[in-house]
Amino acid sequence: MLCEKCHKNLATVRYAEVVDGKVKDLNLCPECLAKHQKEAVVGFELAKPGPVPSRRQAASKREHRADLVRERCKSCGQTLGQVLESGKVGCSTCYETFAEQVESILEGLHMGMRHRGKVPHVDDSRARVRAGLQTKRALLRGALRTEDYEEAAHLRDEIRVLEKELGAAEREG
Amino acid sequence: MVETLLDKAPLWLAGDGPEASVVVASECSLLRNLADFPFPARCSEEERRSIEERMMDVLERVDLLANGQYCPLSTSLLAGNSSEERLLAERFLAERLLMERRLVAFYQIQAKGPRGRMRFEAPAGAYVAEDQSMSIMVNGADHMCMRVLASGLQLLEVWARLNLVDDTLAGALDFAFDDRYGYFTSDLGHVGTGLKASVILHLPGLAMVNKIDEVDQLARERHQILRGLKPTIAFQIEGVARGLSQLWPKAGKKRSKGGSDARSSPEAKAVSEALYSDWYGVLYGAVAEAEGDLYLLSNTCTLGISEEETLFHLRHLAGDIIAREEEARQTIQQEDRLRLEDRVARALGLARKARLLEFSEALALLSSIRLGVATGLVEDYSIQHVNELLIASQGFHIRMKTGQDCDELTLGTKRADLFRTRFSPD
Repeated sequence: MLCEKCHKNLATVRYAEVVDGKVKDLNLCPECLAKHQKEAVVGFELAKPGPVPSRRQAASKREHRADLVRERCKSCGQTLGQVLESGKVGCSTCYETFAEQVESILEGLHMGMRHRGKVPHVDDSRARVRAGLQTKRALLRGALRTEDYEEAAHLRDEIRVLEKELGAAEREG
Repeated sequence: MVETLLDKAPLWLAGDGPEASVVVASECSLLRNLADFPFPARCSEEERRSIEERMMDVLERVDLLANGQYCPLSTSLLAGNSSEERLLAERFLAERLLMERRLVAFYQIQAKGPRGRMRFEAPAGAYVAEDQSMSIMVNGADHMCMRVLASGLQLLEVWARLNLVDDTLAGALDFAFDDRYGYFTSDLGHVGTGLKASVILHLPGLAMVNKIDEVDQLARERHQILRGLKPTIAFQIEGVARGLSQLWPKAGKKRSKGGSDARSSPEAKAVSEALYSDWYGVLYGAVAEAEGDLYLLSNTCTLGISEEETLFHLRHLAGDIIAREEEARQTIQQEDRLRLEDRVARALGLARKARLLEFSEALALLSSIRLGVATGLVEDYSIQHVNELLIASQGFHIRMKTGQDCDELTLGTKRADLFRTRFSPD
């Protein structure tokens, strides 16, 4: 059998190569094998930069940005543009609606990203349930860390019950 | 309503608190919003009215707030005859530091309402406690801004009182709160604790030895902010320019090319008149622009820091600044005594003899006399005496006393009269 590459010498080696998940069989002569192995893919390469976005694509990207700025909070109607310009939001829901942008603004303004001050002193069942939920969730995290799965399952059940309770209380309120 | 407050001096001007020779007053304000409404700027008039009603209801029920009155403010700047009266009331309260100064001008200039017309905040008001050391502004930038003031360096005492008020209100109202972001506020700069704590400092010593910049730097390093107190006039021009450019972007551009169309619309006129007519009051600006050697030191962060930590850091820094000021005063007394004596004596002379006083000048005189009292050069007057004049010589206090239509000249005359009587040698 002649070498499949040069078609001159006798093929003495059967060379199998996996490319893109497909096996390629080659019968080669030693010379061609050496050449081929040099060329063979031996590692990863950085992808070549993709095609430059066309003008239309760039325009649509700009439009997307403009759309983003015009995005409105469903609850109060404040747009993202207004938030970015004034540093003011229209309602508490805005914090969620524009979570990404709000977060990056807050990062620049404050010392941390979590409230550490006082919690409203409300003497109602909802607050108690919420506080209970918080503790249980913290305990669950701890249990998972220490791989105490039995306790974690138990806590998870308790959390589910509390969540239902909270939901019911909120609907009533 | 507000008129009844005019002749009663606020308790916090008494000058009897700790470190009163340097610290004029301590103030803390807390922002709170109701959970079931958007923030006031996004509320309809009706919604704002229900917020106000709910607040009134609480005021009636809560004993803690029994001693005080609710002053309704500015139903509309364009509503006609009563508007000027209300504007006067607002400015008056702001001059007594019972309302955020910046707020007064800006909460009227809101984004364009439906059909591009200017939308003014309708029902708004302020509850003012009997002794004027506490106020609750309703429907400002946030649903509620509670504020407590005390003489001298008393941040912890002020906070204790404010905290109590907050707890009491929280028992009756559902505040917008989130475990992660804390108390929601309209301004992203205040979310978290919603607490702004400040001390008003009188620093003539540091100013005389040119060390204010050092203190400013120190404050910045410790995440606090030092601002100078300046008469409002500069702010108003800036405010009008900014307000107009927001409301009428096109007109604003034309104006910058020399035209004056922006002023011709009735709304624009109302805004500019409202802003310009407050000739002399105070607000806080850049350190370099301070007049009367008065500065405001406040916290900058509200998220990721607890109330107690905020107050601890502020108190600590205030303590440092007070020590530096005392040191500077000592140095001046030892090394530059003649100049100090001259400054104080000149100020007293002017205060007793002048026929026309602008607010800036009045501030400068009061600063020198206050320094004189603190260093023992002036024995006839107390810190309280000077503190009270600091408030009483502001434009809207004088206008309130003399009637509304008083021009700049009358204002100056009245102010000088006030000084002559208060500092008369006999």
